[in-house]
Amino acid sequence: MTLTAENITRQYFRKSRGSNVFLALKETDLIIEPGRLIEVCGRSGSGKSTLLNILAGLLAPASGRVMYDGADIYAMEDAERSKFRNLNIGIIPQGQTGLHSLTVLENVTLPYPMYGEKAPNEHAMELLEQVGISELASAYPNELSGGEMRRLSIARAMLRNPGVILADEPTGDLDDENTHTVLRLLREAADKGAAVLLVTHENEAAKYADTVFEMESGILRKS
Amino acid sequence: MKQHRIGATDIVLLVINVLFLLGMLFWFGPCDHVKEDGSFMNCHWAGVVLAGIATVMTVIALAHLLIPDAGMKAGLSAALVPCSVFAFIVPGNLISLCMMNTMRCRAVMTPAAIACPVLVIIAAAADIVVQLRRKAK
Amino acid sequence: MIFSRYLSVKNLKRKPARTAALVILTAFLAFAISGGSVIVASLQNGLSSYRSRLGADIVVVPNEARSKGTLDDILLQGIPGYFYMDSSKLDKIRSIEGVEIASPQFYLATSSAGCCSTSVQIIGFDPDTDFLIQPWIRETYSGSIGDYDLIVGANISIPVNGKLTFYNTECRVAAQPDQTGTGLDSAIYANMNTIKEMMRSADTLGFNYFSDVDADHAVSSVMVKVADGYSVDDVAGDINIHVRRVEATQAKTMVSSIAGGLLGVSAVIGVLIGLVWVLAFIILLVAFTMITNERTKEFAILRVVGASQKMLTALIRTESVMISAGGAVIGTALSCVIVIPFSGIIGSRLGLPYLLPCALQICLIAAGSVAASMLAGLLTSFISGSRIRKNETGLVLREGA
Repeated sequence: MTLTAENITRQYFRKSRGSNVFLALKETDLIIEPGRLIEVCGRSGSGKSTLLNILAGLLAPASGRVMYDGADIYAMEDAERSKFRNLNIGIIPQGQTGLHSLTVLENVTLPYPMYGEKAPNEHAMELLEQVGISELASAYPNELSGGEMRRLSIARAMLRNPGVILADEPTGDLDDENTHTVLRLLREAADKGAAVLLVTHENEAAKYADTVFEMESGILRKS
Repeated sequence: MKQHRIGATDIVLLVINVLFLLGMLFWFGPCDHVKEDGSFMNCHWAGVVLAGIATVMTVIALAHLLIPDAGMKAGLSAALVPCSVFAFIVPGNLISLCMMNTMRCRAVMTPAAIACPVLVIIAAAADIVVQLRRKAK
Repeated sequence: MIFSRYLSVKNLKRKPARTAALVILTAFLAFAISGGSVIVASLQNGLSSYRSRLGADIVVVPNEARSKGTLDDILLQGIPGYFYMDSSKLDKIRSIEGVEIASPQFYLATSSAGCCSTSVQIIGFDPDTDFLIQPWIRETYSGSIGDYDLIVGANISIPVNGKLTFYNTECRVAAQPDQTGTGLDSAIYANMNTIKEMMRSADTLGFNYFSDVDADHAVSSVMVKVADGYSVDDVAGDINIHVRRVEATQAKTMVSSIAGGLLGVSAVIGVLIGLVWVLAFIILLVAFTMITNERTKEFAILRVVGASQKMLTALIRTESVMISAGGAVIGTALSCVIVIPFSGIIGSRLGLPYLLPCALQICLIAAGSVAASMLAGLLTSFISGSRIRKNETGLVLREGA
């Protein structure tokens, strides 16, 4: 699946002195083709996460279009866009993203019961094995470390073998070994045909990426 | 078989039975009137029997709280059902009471001997379902 | 939606203390609504029954009875009493213009007849002129009421052998009418011959109730039916003027004074129910809003995984319905288990006619209570859920990292 962003911008309103409109993302074009891993790096507050959330269909751009194989996702109704995201986009958000009332296994398989499908527990356990937390399948998020939670998110995002994977700082809180495991998994997903966007500070990530972009003050530039 | 300690149904069962016992001892008992010859009226003895049943039921509920095994808990809850039915039928059926419905034995003690056992039966039934599900897991 | 139910159950189970607190709050609300409504309905039923049982247009009693409130004690609370006037007053009442029927009644209070620690009210009536008791008895018993036959009020238990003895006079229990919710349920009815026999026995046994009145020529009250075309007010006035040392009261006055008391009690209960509903609604709203705010990140995660706004709203609504339905059923069931068996003591404490509504009416009250309690939960979920719709997931994730 090809992800195309055309001329997208985004602004936020700040309650502060002076101008209260802050342009988080200036006119940006980006194409991520299947089989490619694109890295976007930059300082905190540079607009990387804003870009990712817009591409994920979670944050409407002020202008521009986001297209998946030519289909503008912001032209869809919320229900349609949500289902599209469930089926086709694997998102690894920043921070701790486990639901407190579900076990690790239930969290990983969450995309399936959401639309009435039976959870593929075996495949989920394989993914948990790959990210190294299979023994925690029955544990609850409050029993997990930050790194373990991050690996839960990764397993969940990859469960459906989505056409697009959007990862926002997936290696935060991870040790070196697990960092390499995660980057390797994302590389493998790209090699299998997914279009992967990796937003990260991680220096090691460049080795796994096909193209590296830098984000500064809302402007995206190729490195 | 996974065993569980204290759950909501343990507490509910114990609370209802303790209230039943305290009720029969202090709040809902019959009046302490005696006959002209100094002997107690029937309703006094009905109150004594109900206090006795309530004591037995409280002990069963306490055992239910302390025993972790789900199967045994279900059995103890099942045991509360015939005890409750017995309590239900003591006043006015097994032991006759005063003639007037306005007397304390009929106006207070009998309703308490209906309300508490009914609540116990409902709580016990819910507990049996919960414990059997836990046992199946 | 199946997913909302799946996740709601998991959410509620995982936070048992919070779930229990919300369920208890809703249960308290439902308890207050259903319990209060059953009490109000019972009071209204009781008043209606009292009105129909009173039957007469005018009730005439000796002065002492009215001033002591003894008649009200008998009719409302079943507290046994006795008062007498000479039967010549009956003849004088019958001679008043506008009096169609004047039927005497005779009140006797027994001693504690070996059955219990209280005395029992016996009411004697004249079968030839009675227009109140016999129609009531005929609703459940079609036989005749002969000498030594008793009709026993609903609050009195019939012995196994069907016999009762008062003042050494053994009688047969012929019938037991349905409950009226008034003091008449605690009384026993007999014809005049039976009661005169008891009076003679009582006199012989040394019970001196009759002071200066000849027992064979004594009556306790006279129930008057006014002829068509005559004003009840005027006839009552005439009786008070022309018959000395009696008090003639219009039955509607007795009823309206009770109705006034009932209105007061009902109004207080109604206001309390309203206050409880508002208070519970506010507490539920605050609780649900706090919970929703706490779960902003959780909702953002669900959006990331592919939940639509509609799904999130359904999730909140499902949780709210589960909590409020559970609490409503528990509270309503608890109130029925308490208010219905204890209706006797509640009625006697209120001191007003009190008759439980029929099973259908109680079911309707229970259903209404469940609905009102669930409405509180649904409204709060709607209000707190609107906050989710305003949040943009991307902003939440950006802020909440």
